[in-house]
Amino acid sequence: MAERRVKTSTLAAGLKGFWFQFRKSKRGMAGLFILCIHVIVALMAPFIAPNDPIRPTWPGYFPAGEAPLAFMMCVPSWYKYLGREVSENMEVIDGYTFASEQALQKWNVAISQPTRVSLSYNPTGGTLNDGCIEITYSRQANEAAGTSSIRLSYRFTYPYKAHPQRFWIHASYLINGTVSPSTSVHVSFSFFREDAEPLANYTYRGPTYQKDSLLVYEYPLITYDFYSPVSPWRHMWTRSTKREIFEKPWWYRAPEAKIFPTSGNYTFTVDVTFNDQGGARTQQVKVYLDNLQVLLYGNAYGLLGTDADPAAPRDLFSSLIYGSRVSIFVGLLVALISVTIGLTIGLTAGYIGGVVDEGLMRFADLLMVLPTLPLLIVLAYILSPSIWNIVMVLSFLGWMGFSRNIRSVTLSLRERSFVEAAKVVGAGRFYIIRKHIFPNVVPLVYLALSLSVPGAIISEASLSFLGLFDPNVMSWGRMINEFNGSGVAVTKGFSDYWFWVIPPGIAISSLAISFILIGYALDEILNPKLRMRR
Amino acid sequence: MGLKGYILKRTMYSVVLVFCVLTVNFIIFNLMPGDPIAQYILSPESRLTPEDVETLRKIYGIDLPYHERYFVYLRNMLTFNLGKTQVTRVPVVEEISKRLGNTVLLMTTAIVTSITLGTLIGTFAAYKRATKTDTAIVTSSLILGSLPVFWIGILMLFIFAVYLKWFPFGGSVPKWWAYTPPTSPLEIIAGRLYCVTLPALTLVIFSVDNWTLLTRACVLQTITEDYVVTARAKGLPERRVLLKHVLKPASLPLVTAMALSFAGIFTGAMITETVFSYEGMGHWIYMAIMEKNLPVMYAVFYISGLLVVIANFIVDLVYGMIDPRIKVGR
Repeated sequence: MAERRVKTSTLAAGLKGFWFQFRKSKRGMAGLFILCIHVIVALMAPFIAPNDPIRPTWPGYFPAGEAPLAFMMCVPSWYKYLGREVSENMEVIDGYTFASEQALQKWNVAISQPTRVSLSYNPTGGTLNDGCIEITYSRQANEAAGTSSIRLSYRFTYPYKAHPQRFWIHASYLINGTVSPSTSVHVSFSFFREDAEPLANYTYRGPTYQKDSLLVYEYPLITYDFYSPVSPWRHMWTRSTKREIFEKPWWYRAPEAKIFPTSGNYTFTVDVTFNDQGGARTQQVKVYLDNLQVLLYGNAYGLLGTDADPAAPRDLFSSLIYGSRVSIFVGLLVALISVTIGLTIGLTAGYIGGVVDEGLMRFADLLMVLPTLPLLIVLAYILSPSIWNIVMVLSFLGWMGFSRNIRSVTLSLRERSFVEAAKVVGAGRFYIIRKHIFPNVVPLVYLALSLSVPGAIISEASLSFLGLFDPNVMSWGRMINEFNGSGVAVTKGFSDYWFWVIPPGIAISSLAISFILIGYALDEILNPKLRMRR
Repeated sequence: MGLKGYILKRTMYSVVLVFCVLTVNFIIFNLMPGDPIAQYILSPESRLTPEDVETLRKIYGIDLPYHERYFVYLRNMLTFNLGKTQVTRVPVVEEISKRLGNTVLLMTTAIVTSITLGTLIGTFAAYKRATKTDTAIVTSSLILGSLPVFWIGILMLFIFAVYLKWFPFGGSVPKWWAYTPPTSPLEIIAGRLYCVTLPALTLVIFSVDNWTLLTRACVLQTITEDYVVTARAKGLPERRVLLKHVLKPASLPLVTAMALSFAGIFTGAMITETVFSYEGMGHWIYMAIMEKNLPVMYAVFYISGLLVVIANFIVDLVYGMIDPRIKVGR
């Protein structure tokens, strides 16, 4: 017991002395500082990064995960402070607008035939039974047929000078009652733009009308026609990238740019039209609407913008933050495993010698003779590039140099008198290796650990860059690979997309540098021989 | 054991190593997922009957058991009968000869430049040891050395190809050569240089720090030896001390590293060539692995292994000549 206490206290004293020496090394402290930043970022990633790094979606969108987070290839949103006209994401109408009576107050309702059409709030209906709106059409058998409609309009201000990149309208609906070709229901969405005077250089060929001395431009989007009841709940999506969105073909190209040319007041409307062709029977149709969401996607997002994935663009800032986890994880684990393998093989080969030595060292030679990077790629390809397989492959190909080093040190230690003494006393081979040889190579182990981490980090990044990345994990190499694959540099120039490739590169380099700096500081402390004679 | 015995032993060892390389290659590439015939069967327009598949398997030799295939493979490799590429059926040797020139140009330019620069800077740093200059050189080398090569390449492209437009975006020969082939040798040299500069510069930035640090470490190790102090004390001129007493013994590890990096020319610079879409060995090997082009992979892994073994063999012999301490046979 006492012996152990002495041991711990000497260890503590050793560590203290070591820290005292390490503190004097400016390089070492700089490396430690950079490393600490990286580790903190990696640990706090879920709190720092606002979005999922692989498949981010619009938060709070129903159905979950259907709407992308942002438009592709957005510029950082802080570009607005540099005097650039940007547009940001905007949730014009959130999904709860039909879920409570208060939210419904914001809507302006106009009904053409109030005796037949009525609007009410149904607190128990809806896709999640959290309330929805209910539009009822009823005609007695003795009344004359005709068309009646209801218009729900929502006025909002679009604050950005730049036009949005895309709009995305979703609604859930359910239609009940005597819907038939003779009594059909039409649901249509439209945008209206109010303008004091028409914009210059702008040709508009759609319908306009005058209202309170303002010229109002109407942009009818697609109309959904129903000739039979719809149940259960279904979704309707109206996205500006869809070709069939407009009824008039001249708005096909870049509709969002035509509808939202500049900031101003806009109105979004939902029209439900009941086209009753007649018939002697009593007609009753109920249209339920829920989860109406109108999203406008801007051309700026987040701190670093988004990437070029057309279906689900990723937030580059979140990717960058989560990337630190992969690099630190792979770097540390690979260093640990490969140094352990190298240590075991080096000690065994060096101390036992003979056939074992020959066999192990020739195996190391063999692995060193094969071309490293192609071999890495082939092995990663064979094993399929999951993060664990990449760790395995990198560790398997990373131990040779260190084991040679350990072997040569062991060879010289083996001949020392303290080993001879231990042998004479009758100590076994593994006892001697453990108690007499291993403690003498521990400094080398620390050094190798800190110097093989950057190699592993760069190798992992290179494999990712070449396309061998785990599809479920975002890494810095993968970000650069995706940048290269998108061809943005060639097609769009570098000026707006530097934040896609510069930050991950700096991140990889700074993490690698931190370990190298620490390693060199360790080297100067642990190998006094290197301390320079002047 | 005399010199002859030593050479014999090293030769035997090298031959065994080459056999091991061949065997490991065979094992690894047979472990690769997927059947080489599958691409014919799985393609939607394929109308192959089972008999056709059998014939194909016979043509490719996949119907043989593994050990027979192994011996056929060994015979072919040792006689440098490297076969044809998987899909395009072009002889592998022809493909290699098409690309080797490009790669040799790129790699020699890069290696020679970075070795020259690196040894000069390294010696200078060691000579100025423990001064601010030394610290600055070492720190900047460490930082340069930890930049990933693909990132350096992309930055080079941005700076020199996109902004300044001094050099092309990629390729190994200028694009206009396709319409107006070069006529004078001067034009050829200029065009080649035009394309090779950026990838070579990337490689130099990537590897010069290695040479600097290695040279500095080697020189430092000898510059503090007692015999150097003796030489100075004798009154020898500083230049003579540096060249004769320091650089000569310090160059041993450098020679090894140089030999190995020259042996590595054959596989090219995979990442750099991919970034610059340079038509060299590295890019080709990468594409071959991705397309599972087995004959190419066999050939490349075998030849590059062979070159490294030969380089090691030569280094072992040269060591004895440079360093009197390890003169063989005394």
